[in-house]
Amino acid sequence: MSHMLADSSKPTLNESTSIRCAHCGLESRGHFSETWALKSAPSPDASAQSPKYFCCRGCMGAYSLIHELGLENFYSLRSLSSHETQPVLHSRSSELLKNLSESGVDVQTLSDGTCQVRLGVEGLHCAACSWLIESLPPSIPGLKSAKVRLSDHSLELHYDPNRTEPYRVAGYLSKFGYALGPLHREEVEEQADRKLRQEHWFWIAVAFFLAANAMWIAVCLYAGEATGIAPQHERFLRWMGALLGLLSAVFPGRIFFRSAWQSIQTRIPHVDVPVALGLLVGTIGSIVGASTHRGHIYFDSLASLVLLLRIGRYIQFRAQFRSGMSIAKLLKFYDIEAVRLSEEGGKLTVPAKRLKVGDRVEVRAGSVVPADGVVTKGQTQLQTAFITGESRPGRFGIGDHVIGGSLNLEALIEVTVTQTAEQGRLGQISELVQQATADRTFLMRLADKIGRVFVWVVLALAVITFLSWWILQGLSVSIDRTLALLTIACPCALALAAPLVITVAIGRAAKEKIWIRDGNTLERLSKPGVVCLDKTGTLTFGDLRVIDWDGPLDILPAIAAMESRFEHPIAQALVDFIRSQNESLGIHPKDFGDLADDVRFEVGQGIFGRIEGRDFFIGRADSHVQTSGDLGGARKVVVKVDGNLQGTFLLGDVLRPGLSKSLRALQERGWKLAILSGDESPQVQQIAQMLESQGIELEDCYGGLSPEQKKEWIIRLRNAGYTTVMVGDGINDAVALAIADVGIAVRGPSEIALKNAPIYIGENHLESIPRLFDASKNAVKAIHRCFAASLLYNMITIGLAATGYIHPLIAAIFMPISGITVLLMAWSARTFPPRNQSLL
Amino acid sequence: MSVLFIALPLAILLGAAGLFACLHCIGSGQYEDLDTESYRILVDQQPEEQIARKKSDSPGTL
Repeated sequence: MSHMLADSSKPTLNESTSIRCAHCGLESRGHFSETWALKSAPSPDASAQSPKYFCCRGCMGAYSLIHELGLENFYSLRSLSSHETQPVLHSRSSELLKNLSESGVDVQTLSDGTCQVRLGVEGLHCAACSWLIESLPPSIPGLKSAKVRLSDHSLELHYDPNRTEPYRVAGYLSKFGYALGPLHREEVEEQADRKLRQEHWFWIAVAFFLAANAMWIAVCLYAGEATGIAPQHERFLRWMGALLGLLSAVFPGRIFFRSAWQSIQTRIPHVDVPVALGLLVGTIGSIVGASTHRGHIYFDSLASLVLLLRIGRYIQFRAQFRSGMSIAKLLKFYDIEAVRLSEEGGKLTVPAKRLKVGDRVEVRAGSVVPADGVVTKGQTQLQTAFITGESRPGRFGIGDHVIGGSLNLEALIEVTVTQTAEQGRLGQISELVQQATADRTFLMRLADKIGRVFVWVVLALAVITFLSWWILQGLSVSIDRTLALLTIACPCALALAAPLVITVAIGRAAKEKIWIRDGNTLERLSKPGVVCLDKTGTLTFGDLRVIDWDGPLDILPAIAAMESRFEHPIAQALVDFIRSQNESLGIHPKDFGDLADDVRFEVGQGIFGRIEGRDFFIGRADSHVQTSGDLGGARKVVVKVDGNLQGTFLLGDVLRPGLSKSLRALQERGWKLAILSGDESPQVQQIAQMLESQGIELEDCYGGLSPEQKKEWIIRLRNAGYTTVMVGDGINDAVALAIADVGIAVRGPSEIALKNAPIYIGENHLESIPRLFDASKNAVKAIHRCFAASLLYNMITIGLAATGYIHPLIAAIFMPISGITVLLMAWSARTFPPRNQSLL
Repeated sequence: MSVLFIALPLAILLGAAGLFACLHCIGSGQYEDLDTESYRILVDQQPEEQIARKKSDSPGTL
């Protein structure tokens, strides 16, 4: 439905000559109009009485439904917000909701017999959408409530299982253009992350409470020291403070002791060891101070240290949660659904992973073949680019073997499954991806490296301080000074700096439509290595586009009028081309509108139709023509009117604009380039020659590689000592993405998107990659700066503490200052420079 | 006996009450979706009978 694309922020293409659809707001030809005079509750808005125009019947239906239910508010609310989120590339189907347990949907039955279920919604755009959905329950019997969560596009239904089913709610919502389906696998895991996140928040809140209270008690004590305080008051305040500090160390601070203990057991030094030691010393110091009523106070430093460390831990969690695991979830083919045919001729929609050998499945045009098998009925063209990288679709007929994951382009076929999802080609690739993830050696984090040195240095200094003061002035002074040193030696800046800088960089990257899941990748991108690029979908658009039109311009709108009725990739390519021509020429398909009659599609030939009494044919030329000069196998589509050739379209996979500019930018930054493609067509070599003629050197250039071979190449490059970066968009790149030091997935034409790659670039990826590399370099520099500041701070304070100059007041001032400095430095790090200042 | 001995624990208890309210909010998932709630407050809830009347005026939807 076209109104699923509704986006209030999107301007219409040509305001003066087109009409906006009253429902979706997109430019429309205005075929469907209706006068909306509402019977009840006359609207104060006069426009409600005037004729409305719609782009399609779907929009008209949705508009009338919304009005009948009295939910007109939708249109006024829609302008309130335009919610920009990561593009949702998968499609959901309510078919899977028919059998909830089979589809793995988790239904909670509440004590009163009602049920609660969380489902994914597609088509959500703004607050108006969520309002519309949430306003529905009174109209659906048995539905108690519906709560939308915009942040992750999910919906929680609370219903009475005796009166309604999620399936029926889904059917109802689909009338409005919202598709409801089971949550995908990674979304289920997101729910688990939610629990972890809540736990972090919980302890931060507790630590904050304790730290804030400890601090104001400390202020009382300092003030008392300056102006005089009754001894019993001082004693009381010390005890209260010590109690708060103790609580802080015991509850929110527990994890640091635990990880320090693990570090001691495994004998791997970790930053948490001095942290735990500091906390322990601070705790003992507070208790000793409280019971002896003398000496420095430590509980405020203790509590604020716990708070800062807790915040650091949370930021770290945010920056790299799921980083190691995410690449294993690259492949979402388990979410493919299949239409299984039973012996009696019935149809049942099941998830692809439930298919067994021998099952017969129906594959409609436009859908994905769910498993490896043999065609038993019909013939069609299949696009296998996502699995093999082959850019040209192949023709498949009865008896031919098809690969699961191929896209059916043309006609309905019936496939008998010969291998289950796990055994099939997709399953093999998925298996390889998981192995690659397991094999992967993670680079040691910079903070850990420095942290280890820090641990030993601080411990050594503490011992030296203790011994020397003991010899010089006796035990009590020596304990006091050592305590001061260990408390003040604050590794928190060290622990906070890297995660903070990376988090800030990730946030800024997301604004540029670069989604970084694994924060560690930024560190790895800072040193040049080899960038391996996939061809189909990465260097090229990966789908068919019109290269050339040789014929009169005035028949183009007629062609568009016919082709716009089909979803075939060639039809879409022609319509896109004609639409772009229209903008420059000022012709409108509106002029022809619905004039095309009797339009039909013949498999293997093309489209036939009649416009103004003339017979049109758009389709295959008599022979498949290989033309030189273009890239790879271009295809010709001829247009005949009344049997006479009128013109020829040339279609092919077109190079993305700005390709050589971006590659040159990468080369200037010291990166070597390589093309690893699965495509066997000569296009790979042609691109290589084209690039070389422009002075861009390619380290390697290979076509026709299987996913396994791509992996071999990456391993070879890695063993040669290069940092390897793989850029790709298809399933055939998944293994290489997983094995490379940094895998960057880009948005290609493939439906099975690699959204879960460590880095996913939503648009203009060729332009974004050099910027990303610059940003990672800047981020690493910023981390180094923060480390330097933190080390300087530590050197000064440790020096003061060891020599006995530290006063509790100085400690109290230095503690927050160090934290705030790191925060400011991380925040002000210019990871992503403004676009106009970019070197590109 | 100074007022401090009563006032200070009382102040901490009051603060703790606020803390528990905050913890409850975290537990109930209030901070999970900051997008929807900020708009929801702008929506006027229609009285149920009005919706019901509109429905009866326009038959044939469900």
